[in-house]
Amino acid sequence: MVRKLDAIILTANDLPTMKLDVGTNRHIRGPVKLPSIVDGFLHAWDGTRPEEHITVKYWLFQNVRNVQTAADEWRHFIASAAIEINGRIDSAYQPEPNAADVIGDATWRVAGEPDIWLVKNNVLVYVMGNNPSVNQLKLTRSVARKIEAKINAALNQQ
Amino acid sequence: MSTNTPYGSPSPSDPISVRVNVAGIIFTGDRTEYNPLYDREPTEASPKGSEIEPPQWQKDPFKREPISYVRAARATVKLDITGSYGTPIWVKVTPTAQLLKRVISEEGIEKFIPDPHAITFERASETIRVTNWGDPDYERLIFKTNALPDQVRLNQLKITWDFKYGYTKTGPWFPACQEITAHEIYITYARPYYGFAPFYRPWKRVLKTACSYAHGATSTIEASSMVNRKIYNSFQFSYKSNKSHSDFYNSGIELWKMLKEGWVDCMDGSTYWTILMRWLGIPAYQKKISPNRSDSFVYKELRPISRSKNLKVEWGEDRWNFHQVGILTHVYDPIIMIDKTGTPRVPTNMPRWDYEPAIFASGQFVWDSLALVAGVY
Repeated sequence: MVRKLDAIILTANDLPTMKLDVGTNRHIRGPVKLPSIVDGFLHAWDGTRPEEHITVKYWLFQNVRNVQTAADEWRHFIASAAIEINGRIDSAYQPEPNAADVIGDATWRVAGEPDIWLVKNNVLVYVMGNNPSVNQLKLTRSVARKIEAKINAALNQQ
Repeated sequence: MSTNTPYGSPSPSDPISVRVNVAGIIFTGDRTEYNPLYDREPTEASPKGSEIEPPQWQKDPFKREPISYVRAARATVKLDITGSYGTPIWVKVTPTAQLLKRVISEEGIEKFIPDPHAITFERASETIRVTNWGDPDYERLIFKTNALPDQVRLNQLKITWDFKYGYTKTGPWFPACQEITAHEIYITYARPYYGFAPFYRPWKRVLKTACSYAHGATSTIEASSMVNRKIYNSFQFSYKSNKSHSDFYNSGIELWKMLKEGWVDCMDGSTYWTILMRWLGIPAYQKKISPNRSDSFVYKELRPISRSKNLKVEWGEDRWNFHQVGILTHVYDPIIMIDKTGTPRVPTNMPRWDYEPAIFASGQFVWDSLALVAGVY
């Protein structure tokens, strides 16, 4: 399991074309109290290209069961957007339909939107595209895959 | 012949030998401890912004920062002057203040027109004896104003400082010079509620927006209604319901990014309204409403907030996990327009029992308790 977020948080070396918005970097809580987190962190990155405006949130959990619970439950709290399935309201964040686009252990996304909600081992990650006027999905997927690689590297070192 | 030495004595026969300069102005007042605002604009030296320290106006290096007061407050204006040529001497300073209102003409040209509200001073003039210009660096005179306008305002403040000099405290007075200083003044409804971590002081850009939106308001309902409608009609934000600058737990909002990026969801919009209210000194809150997830719903058509000035954003039905509104006794919802077939309007000061059926045609709803965002970043 990942023990500290420091090992998997993206750095300037990982995103060389973007700059960290130092006004944003800070520890965060989960959107709701449970399941409880070990740590949470927010970073925003900006570059010169229109799509290079993203926010990344990381949450570290004590175990895989908690992160799976959070990944499923918190979908309802990260955004008000919902869809109706069989007359019932569900989060607009739905499992990534294309297996090739699944990042980490599981990925959720709003259809047609660039924001990626993914879980890998005991880490939950939310990669948000901040510029709705351009298609950011390629970039957010690339960023999510870099985080996945860092989580894999952290796991392999143990 | 003029006495062109810094510390010489002017000759009564040479009335133009005295020159006075405004070096700096500090604005304070007994109800304005918050007067130093926060400038959230990042700079190389201060990437997260910095507090605005007095003086709010300074000649060299030039500095002009906005000033903020509570409506009907009395301001204290500390005027620091320097001069040259001729001491000992008496200097008499007579300020005249004029409020100006910013208007944009139909051609899009910015103009400042005289405002009917005035600022006057308790004493028409103050005098000071100068024995040695430059020691200390300046001489300070203190002016107290009479009550500022008794309503929320955003104004330009132009002060004409008229300087005369004489050889006795009672004159006669000889004209020396005039200087004009210009300031931006934000007049809030009451003392701002601040304490949003981590900056604690109102941001000058946001307080300016609040005072601009509520300009002229004389009651809490008037101010909150004006701000609510103007957020919707500002064409500054588009609606995105699939992400947020706020977190559900109300621990923080990325307000600076929200203002820069120009999109909001319901949490952002209602939190923004709440922040504008609280920095105007009005104790507003946020509240979430959640549909019962086991229930089925029929939503009514809404028209979300948009940056599109031609208002071509269509009415449509949305589906929500939850919704968040602003609360000041009743409901304020600055990001939607309701009542497509009746009187389309931004929900403003609506009792809950009127608001619910305006949004939902059917279904059960749960209203959370009042909440307040903790951090404004």
